[in-house]
Amino acid sequence: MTAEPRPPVVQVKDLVKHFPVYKGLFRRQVGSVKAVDGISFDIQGGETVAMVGESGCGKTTAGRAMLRLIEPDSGEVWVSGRNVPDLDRDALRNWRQKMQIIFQDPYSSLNPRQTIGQIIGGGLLLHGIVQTAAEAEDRAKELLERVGLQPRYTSRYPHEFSGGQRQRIGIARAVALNPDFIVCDEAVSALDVSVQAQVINLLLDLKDEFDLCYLFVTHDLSVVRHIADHVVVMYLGQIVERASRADIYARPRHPYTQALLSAAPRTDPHKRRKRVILPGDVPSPINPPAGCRFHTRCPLAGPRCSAERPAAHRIADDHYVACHFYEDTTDPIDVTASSPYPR
Amino acid sequence: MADLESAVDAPVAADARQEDPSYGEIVWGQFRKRRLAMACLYGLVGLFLLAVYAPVLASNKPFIWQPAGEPVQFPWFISLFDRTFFENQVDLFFNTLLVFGTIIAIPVAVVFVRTRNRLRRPRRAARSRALVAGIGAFLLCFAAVQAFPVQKQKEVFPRIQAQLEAAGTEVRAVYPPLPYSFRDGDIDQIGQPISRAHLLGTDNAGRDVLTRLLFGTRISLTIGVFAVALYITLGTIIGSIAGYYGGRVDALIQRIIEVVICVPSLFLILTVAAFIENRSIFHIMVIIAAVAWTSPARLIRAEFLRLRNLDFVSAARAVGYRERTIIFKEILPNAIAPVLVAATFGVARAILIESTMSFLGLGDITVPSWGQILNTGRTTSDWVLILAPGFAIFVTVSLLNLVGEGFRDALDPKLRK
Amino acid sequence: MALLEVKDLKTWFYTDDGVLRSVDGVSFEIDRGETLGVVGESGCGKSVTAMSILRLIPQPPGRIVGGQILFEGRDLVTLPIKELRKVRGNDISVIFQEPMTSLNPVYTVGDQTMEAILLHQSVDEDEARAIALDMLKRVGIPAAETRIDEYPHQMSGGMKQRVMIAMALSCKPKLLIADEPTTALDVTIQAQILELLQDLQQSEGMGIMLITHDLGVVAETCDRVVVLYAGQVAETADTGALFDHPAHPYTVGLLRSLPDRAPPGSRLYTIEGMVPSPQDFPTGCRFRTRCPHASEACAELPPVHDLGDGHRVWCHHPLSREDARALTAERTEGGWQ
Ligand SMILES: Nc1ncnc2c1ncn2[C@@H]1O[C@H](COP(=O)(O)OP(=O)(O)OP(=O)(O)O)[C@@H](O)[C@H]1O
Ligand SMILES: Nc1ncnc2c1ncn2[C@@H]1O[C@H](COP(=O)(O)OP(=O)(O)OP(=O)(O)O)[C@@H](O)[C@H]1O
Ligand code: SF4
Ligand SMILES: [Mg+2]
Ligand SMILES: [Mg+2]
Repeated sequence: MTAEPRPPVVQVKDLVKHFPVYKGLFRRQVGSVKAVDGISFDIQGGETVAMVGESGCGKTTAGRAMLRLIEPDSGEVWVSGRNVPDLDRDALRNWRQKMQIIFQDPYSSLNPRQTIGQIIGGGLLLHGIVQTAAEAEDRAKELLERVGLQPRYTSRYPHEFSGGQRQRIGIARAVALNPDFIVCDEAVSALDVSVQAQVINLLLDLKDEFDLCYLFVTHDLSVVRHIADHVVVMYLGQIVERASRADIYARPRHPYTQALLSAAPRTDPHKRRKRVILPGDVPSPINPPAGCRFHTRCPLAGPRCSAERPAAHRIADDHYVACHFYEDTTDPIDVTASSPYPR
Repeated sequence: MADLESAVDAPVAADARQEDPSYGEIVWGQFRKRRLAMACLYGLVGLFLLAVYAPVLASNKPFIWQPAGEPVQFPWFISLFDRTFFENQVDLFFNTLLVFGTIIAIPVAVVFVRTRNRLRRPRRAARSRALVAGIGAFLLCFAAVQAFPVQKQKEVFPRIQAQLEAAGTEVRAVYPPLPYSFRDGDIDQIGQPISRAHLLGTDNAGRDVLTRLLFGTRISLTIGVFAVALYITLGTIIGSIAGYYGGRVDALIQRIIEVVICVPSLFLILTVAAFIENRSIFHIMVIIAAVAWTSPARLIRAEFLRLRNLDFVSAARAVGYRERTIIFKEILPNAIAPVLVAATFGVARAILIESTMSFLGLGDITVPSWGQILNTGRTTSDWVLILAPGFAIFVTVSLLNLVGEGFRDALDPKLRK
Repeated sequence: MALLEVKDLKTWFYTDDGVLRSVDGVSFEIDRGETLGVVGESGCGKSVTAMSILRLIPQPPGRIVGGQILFEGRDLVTLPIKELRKVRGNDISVIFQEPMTSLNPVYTVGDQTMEAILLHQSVDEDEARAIALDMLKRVGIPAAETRIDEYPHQMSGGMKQRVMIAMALSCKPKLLIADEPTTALDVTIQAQILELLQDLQQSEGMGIMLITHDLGVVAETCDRVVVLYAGQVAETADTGALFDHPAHPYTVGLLRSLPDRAPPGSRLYTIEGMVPSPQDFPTGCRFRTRCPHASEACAELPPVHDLGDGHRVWCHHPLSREDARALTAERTEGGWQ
């Protein structure tokens, strides 16, 4: 984190995205998946914000809605000074240069019928960064070299590469446009340990070199700990805790964050801990629990939790917790109080 | 021990893959392993060559014509671009192929043979360059043929020769093996049975049946290929739009498709055909296309529904491509393979439809299509006129279907050999 | 005698691209009541090893071309298929990698659990249902009485995985093979499942072969570990020893490249290059193209070094205890405590 304050490159305010659910012969709308339900956070220049949470909590939806790959229902997303949801079609197409995305699946994220040169160079021509196909090819070669691949690979097709190499190509495509902001949606989750380390290093290097900021979406807490400056913890479409990396790992305050951290396996066999076992599964986001969405699994839950949605309490600089009992969580919650199996 | 650079990637393993085939090469390699399909493909190529070189085998214009004391003439060659003889654009096209196509094919073939032992990548580049140049040159030639019509010689050479020789003039003339016109009959030869001179006899206008059958190949192949190209294009565009946008657009297009497929296609074709006067084969192609576009549209739509949710499409949108580019340049190349397979079957189907229409008297009576020959056979109840084109249709359709099956299997990763 | 003893197992695939030696001389053993972790990167042959034990390899192209698989002293490789069927599902149960596709969508979970019981135990349907219900309760399915009649699609991924475990355990197997039982699941559900497996092991005393690529899962649940690389065993040791002083350069590399053992934001250690594909496995030590310690000797098959306490390593230049400690500890200091 840099000392002098820079204006945030990305500001998200009350972003909402609900997917309608239809049923029956006449496709009547019977409800909606509250995939992202009012989330707000900032990303400073040169910073990585990690978004963590369990499957289906809306991480991908949030990332894509910010880039308008999915149209958000409401909310503001300021990227480099413009509110993305307000942009018209042409303005949006131009502004896309500022915000890019790297995907999880290295197999489906590259067009199988295009050469690597076309994949990387296409956007350069589109945005007028280079003028001729030859220049695009040259730039693609430089970028390939930068991400650790041979420049002559530009004439090859994606199927000729391994998962880790494809992920590098996806990264080259994203940084080619010289964006300010990149969403990394599980960008290293599909990779093997040894390759994952290579790609993490690459992402860290590129961040400094191109002065990027990342929204790093993942469920892998050890990766988050390594690369994030700030962490946003999501549960069922809402942010339950938001803090600096150090605070999240040393002083987690939301019961869910504590459970999540305790459930993450660590590679030290000498310190086998007693884990906080959360009962049950994540409830359906179609009819999420009222009040605090976590109350059906929370070891601390009281009557207030099912009635009233907790506000985001600011408990320190940059540390916000959405829990009614945030004052009781300074010590990790009592494990024995929670039954190990679903009720 | 130095902290190894993340940027290093294994050059050994990567170099071993220098020779990786492209998708097309993989499919072709798979196709080649299917013996029957391969044999049928050779059969189709043979059929195509027959169509191209039909005038070499059958024409009533002599290659060389020299009555005693006169200069040598080459009526056969001149007739190739003679609008009064080959009235039809189809024949003109094939004749251009016959003359200029042959000339152009030679250097292209040389490039193909020369690059045989090169590495895949430069070979691919050299060959596609040669092909593009060849096709370009051919189209130029075809345009030139269109621009400079030759109109000459109405003479019926065999008859003149007979007259001249009767008058005692020596004539040096070299004819194709079948010295008959596919168009003009010989009134003296009406309804001849099978003989040495007419291997399949003649029809009710005195035309040699084998000759007509040969030129019918041109018509049938053209109708098949062009009708299919037309409806594949139409179906692809409509299907892409339905699949990409989904929702209301898709629902609307689906309803239209349902309406079209609800009406029995033959019934529709015959009804429409009955309303058109002076049907030409172009009308017939359009009619076939108008009913057949639904099947590629549905195939493409299904592929689009699958592909549009893949990340590479999101990536293209994130880069900022226009929707048109995303549909036609990003998704379509990935969706087209099953349609190309269906197209092979489609050619067979179009040939059958044309034959049916002609057989029922709703075809283009000016061309010697196989269906027209069948129709003649029907009206004259001459069994040769029924069996011969029937057999030609059967063989062609079977070849196409077997090639289509081979192609389909080659595309199916589960059936990889 | 160990419960399961795999000796020099070789399972090869005969494909168009040549012979893939996906599992090429793998040996390990599992005792009663022991959890053995099998770790390695994608494609290193973990699943093929597991499938070979019950001879479930698709054949062709696969074939067990050598080695022995001794289960309670009987060699499963040569066992007549009739005998083998009695072992499958009865003495040895498997939980497959993909919980979502391993359940049949047209039968209720109760029917599917009962079927396994009826097949292997001489009980009638009512008894089978009672056993199934009991199993579902024990794996922590809430309201098991009603959920027993539900279809798989009505359940979440974690529930389905629990049903799979219930089915696998309903015959009280002596050995449970769990192929990535938690990879598709969330961390909180993963914690539930791992806890459950440990509880059940303690009460039933079965041996577990836990296949995973997650070293964290291994560290937290396994007694012993086998590290596979490119179809061969690189190293095997007690979990504590392996994480404390790994001897194989590959294991060292893996541990050093873990983000949770490094200070945040630092450059991670990386193993040069990529995992080779089975078509171009190097000769000799298969790790030598990427190994920082490789020498000319490594072109020969590596010898096995026995470091005591069942710690064995297949390498020409195994690291000494001190070196390994130094290399891995230097990183662990800033690690996630
Ligand atoms: N196009 C869609 N239509 C309907 N529902 C959707 C759609 N996309 C996502 N959802 C739902 O929205 C919720 C959030 O999904 P999302 O993919 O954002 O989760 P995630 O946090 O990225 O999960 P994962 O870790 O599994 O990737 C899920 O319940 C999902 O089923
Ligand atoms: N049916 C098959 N045909 C051909 N090769 C196969 C087959 N099954 C497996 N293999 C080969 O065996 C190798 C090992 O595969 P295996 O499934 O055991 O890997 P794994 O270690 O389980 O990996 P993952 O972590 O991805 O599950 C693969 O590289 C693959 O090439
Ligand atoms: S508000 Fe209540 S239910 Fe929600 S997290 Fe805090 S304690 Fe748990
Ligand atoms: Mg996601
Ligand atoms: Mg596996």
